[in-house]
This record gives sequence, C-alpha cells and structure tokens, in this order.
Amino acid sequence: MSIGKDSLGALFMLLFGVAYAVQIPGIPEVATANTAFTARSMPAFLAAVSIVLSLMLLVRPGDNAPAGLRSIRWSRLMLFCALMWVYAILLRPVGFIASTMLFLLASMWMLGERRTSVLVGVAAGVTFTFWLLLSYALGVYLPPLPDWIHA
Amino acid sequence: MLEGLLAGLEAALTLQNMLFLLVGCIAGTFIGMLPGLGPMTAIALMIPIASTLPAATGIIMMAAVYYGAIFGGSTSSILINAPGVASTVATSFDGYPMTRSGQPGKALTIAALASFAGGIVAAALLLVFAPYLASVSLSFHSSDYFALMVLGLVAVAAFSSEGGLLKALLMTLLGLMLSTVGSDQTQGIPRFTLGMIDLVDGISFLLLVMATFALSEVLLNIARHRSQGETQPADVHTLVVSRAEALDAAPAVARSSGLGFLIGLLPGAGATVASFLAYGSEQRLNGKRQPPFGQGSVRGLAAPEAANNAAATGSFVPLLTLGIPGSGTTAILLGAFIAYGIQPGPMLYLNEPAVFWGVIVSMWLGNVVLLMLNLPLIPYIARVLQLPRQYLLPGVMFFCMAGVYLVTFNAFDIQLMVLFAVVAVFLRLLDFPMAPMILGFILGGLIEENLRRALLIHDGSWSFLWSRPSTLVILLLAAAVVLAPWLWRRVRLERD
Repeated sequence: MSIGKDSLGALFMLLFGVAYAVQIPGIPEVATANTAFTARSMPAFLAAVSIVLSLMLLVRPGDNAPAGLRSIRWSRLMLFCALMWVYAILLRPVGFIASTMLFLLASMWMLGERRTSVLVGVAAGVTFTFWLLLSYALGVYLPPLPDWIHA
Repeated sequence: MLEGLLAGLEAALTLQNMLFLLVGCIAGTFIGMLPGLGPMTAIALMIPIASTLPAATGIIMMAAVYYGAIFGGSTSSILINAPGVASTVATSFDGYPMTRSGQPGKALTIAALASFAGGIVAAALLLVFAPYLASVSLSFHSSDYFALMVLGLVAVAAFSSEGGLLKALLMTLLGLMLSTVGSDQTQGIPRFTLGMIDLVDGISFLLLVMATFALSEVLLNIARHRSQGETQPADVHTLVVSRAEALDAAPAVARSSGLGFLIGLLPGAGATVASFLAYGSEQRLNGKRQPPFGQGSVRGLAAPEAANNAAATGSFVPLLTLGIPGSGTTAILLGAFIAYGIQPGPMLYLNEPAVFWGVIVSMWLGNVVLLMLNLPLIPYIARVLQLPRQYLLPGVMFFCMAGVYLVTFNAFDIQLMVLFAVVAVFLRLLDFPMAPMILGFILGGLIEENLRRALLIHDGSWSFLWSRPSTLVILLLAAAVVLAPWLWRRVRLERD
C-alpha cells in the first residue's frame, strides 16, 4: 500500500512538531513577574498549531496521489551530499584551494566529465579566480592553505 | 522643492559624482550576484573607498552600490534559483520558471525594467513627500508592525492552490519554528540548540534559502532520471518584451511600486515584506491570465521586482528625514553619514540640502545607469546557463557552499545546509511549497519581538489587537486574505 503525498508530508510535519514540542520544557524560564510572553510562549503556540494542522491534513488530505519518491535516484543524491559534507570537513585542515579543487574535480567526474585537462583546468581556474577575487578585489580573506601551515 | 531639485541636480551631475555613480552601480551589481554578499556587505566593502571621497560623492556612490546589489541579487535569483538576499526570494517564483522555459534573457530584462520603474516611481514619491512621510513612519507602533507581519504571513494564502492552504500554512509554521532556533532575542536564552554551540546564533537566512532553492534544485537535477524535468535550451539573445506584455504588466508594476514604497517607509518592514505582499496581491488580481503565477508569469516577476526596488528607496525616508535606519543596509549608510560629519534627521533638509537632494536625484540617475549598464550585459550574464551540466551543477553547489561559509566561516553551516537541502528535496517531491517557509523564517523573529514589545507596552494585555484602529484594520485585512478564497469557493459552489 503506498502512502499519498499529503499524508506523508503531514506525517513528517507531525513528527517534527512533536519533536519540537518535546524540547520546549528544556527552555529555561527566567523568573520575572507578570510576564505574559516568555521564551517558551511562541514555541508552545507554534508547536500546538503545527500538530493540530498536521493532524487535520492527515485526516483530510487534499492531493493524495502517490508520493513520487522513487522517481529520483536517492543513492546518487546522497553521494553528492556526502561529497559536500566531506568538503566542509576538509575546508580548514586541507585549506580552501585544495579542498575546493578536490570537490570540483570529484563532482565533475561524477557527472561524466573524463578529460583530465578539462577537469584540472576548470577546477583550478574556478578555484583560483574565486580566491583571488575575494582576497584581493574584495578584501575577504579565505585561508588558502591548511590550518596547520598558518598556525 | 524646485530649488532643492535644481540643487540636487547640480550636486549629482558633476563628472566626479557621475563617475562614482557608475562605479557604484557596477560594483554593487557584481557583488550582489555573489552569494553571501548582499547589499549590506557590498556597501560595507565600499566604505574604505567612499571615505576618501567628498561627502556627496561618497554617499551617492554607496546608494548606487545598494541598488546595484539588489539588482545583482535578482540576477542569481532568476538564473540559478539562488536568491542571495531576502528581498529577491519572490523574484525567483516566476523568474526561475521563465529561465527553465528557455527565456533567461527576457526574465532578466523584465526584472531590470520593473526595478527601474519601481525605483523611478519611488524616487518621485520620495522627492515630493519625503518631509511629510516621516511622520507616517513614526506613527507605527509595535502592535502595528506585528499586525503587518501577520498580514505578510497570511499572504501565503495567495501561494496556495485549490486545497493547498493547509500545506502552505504548515510550511509557514515550519519557517516560524526554525526562526526560534538560537538565542531568544530579549532574554538571550538558548532555544532548540540541541546542545550545539554552532546553533546558538540561530540558522542563517542565506543557509536556509540556498538549501531550499538553489541546492535542492541542483540535487533534484542530479538525481532525476535524464528524461525528467529537462530545462528548455536557453535563448540568451531574446531580451524583447512584447508591447502587449509590457502594457499588461504596467498596472502591476505601478501598484507594486506604490505598495513597495509605502512598506519601505516602515523601519524594519522593508523590501522583503513589500516583495511578498506585492506578489500575493498581484496573484489575486491576475485572474485567468496565462501563464499563471509560479509558472513564468510576467506580472509575477515584475511585481516583486518593482516592489523591492521601490521599498529600497522608501527605506531612505526614515534615514534622511529622521536619522532612523530602516534596515541593516541603511544602518551602514547612517554610519557613513556620521563619518562624514553629517547628521541625518529633520535638519538635514535645511543644513545640507546638497546632500539631501543629491541623494534623491542620484536615485533616479542610478536607476537609469543600472538599466543602461545591465541590459547590454544580459545576454552575456545569461550565457552562464549554456554551460554543460557537468560544469554548471558543481559550480552552483560550490557557489552555495562558498556563500554560506562566507557568512560565518563555520564549516558546520555547510553541513546543515546540505541536511536542509535533502529535507527540501523530500518536501518538494511531496508538493509542499518552500516560499511560505522562507517567509515564516524571515518574519518569525520580527513577529515575536514586536508582539513581546506590544504586550510589554500594554502591561500584558492583548487588548491592543482591537483597541488600536490601525492594528485592527491590518488584522481584519489579514483575516480577509485568508477567508476570501474559501468564501469565494462557497459562493461558486452555491451558484453551481
């Protein structure tokens, strides 16, 4: 049995709303007299309304055509997400220049570019142009080299 | 006023001032196209140059940078669905679909012309009404701001198709909930940080926008099977907007310019609310015109563009006449005024007429220069779309990551952006609209702040909702926006 779009989305929003609501008691209450509105007020209101609306959508979905989640290649998507995740991890230890070039090389290769000269040329061109533009034209410093060299 | 206008023209039309106006337009446009570097950053980056110039020249240049950056932000919004500035989010709703249908040049042209029109109309209104409008902006209290923000949020009803109101409201709530992550504005109490120090400052706007618009689009493009959702080959040479399209869009541009200017008068409300309200109201008035809003409508693109540029001009009213900056960008401009030894406020008009009128005249000139500069460049800018996907998609991914990283220099933000992008892909596949979430996120903090202040002023009583006429009127308008589609459907059903 496949679940419809609206029902799946409503379920996601309901779970998010509940997870959000569960965090609210953890927000410290600062003791002030006659405070009608505290740090918990808005979150409590939002959580309550989102849970109610999610349940309404779950009970009465509008467009409940099957959710087309199988229409895309999730493995490929997650692979690119992992690549970006690795870029974020390497940015400081490896430096902007090397990590950006590695990211561009890998992503172009994964999208089908195989010519080494083009891969290296485009990656280096984009990386160095961007870095020079930011560092010298705009005065925004991006450490080009690994952290441990700068330290 | 005529004397002032002539003084302004005399101040602005010197070779030096015109040269730096041009420099400001070019620099602003270019910087505005880069993610993470919006108008505020663009102006801040130009301050070292401006500080070496005479006062009128420096301020004229920075005003030109401001408009240029807004136009630059629209460019990335239209071409790659990567709005770098809140006020250009609404531009992508019809700008990007127009690009996908193979008309990027036309989309950029419409944006340029609409921005120009919005700026000219607003500059004219500023010229005539500036001294009187200052009192309007002063009369708005926290309760009125709260009501205005609620009106902005319920414009989400305009984004909902038949039966989609619940989904749009849920996404608005999601945006509001995400806006509460970080430190509470009044008491500094951490909320929903999950014990992570990286979340103490909250989630950055650019991160969320990049994730939900540009990055999710790229990921969908990568992950879809080749036969699905191909973009039409881009015709980069077609800039022509037909006479019929221009005449059709003209009323929308005029209305949106007026609306944008009025909203821009209000400190803190600004170009974002103006662009969303303009989009929402024009969608209601669009009727059965084709294509509908959200699918490459000329009006859908022109309205928010006219509104955001008009609002940018409107935001100068509180700055010039009261010395109150209406936005982060005008706050930086206020700093520049003070650095020059000029005190904006009610006496600026009398003490420094050359500066006052020079800035106003430069707005007209700046809009003309931007139009003349950008129209010939559009075919070249649009060529970026002709890059093969194995270069374009990694470029856009890098663009997003670099932009987000430049805001806080924290790699955690890149990881968070990727996570949000995956969730955005999931929700987009389920036909949940992203725009209401962004609007909720942008306005969440402002709504909470104004509501809290209003309650404080009224000793915890909610009576301000009905005791202040202006608040009541705006809230009733908001209720009408929500209920009208439902009532209209009931009337139609009964008629049938």
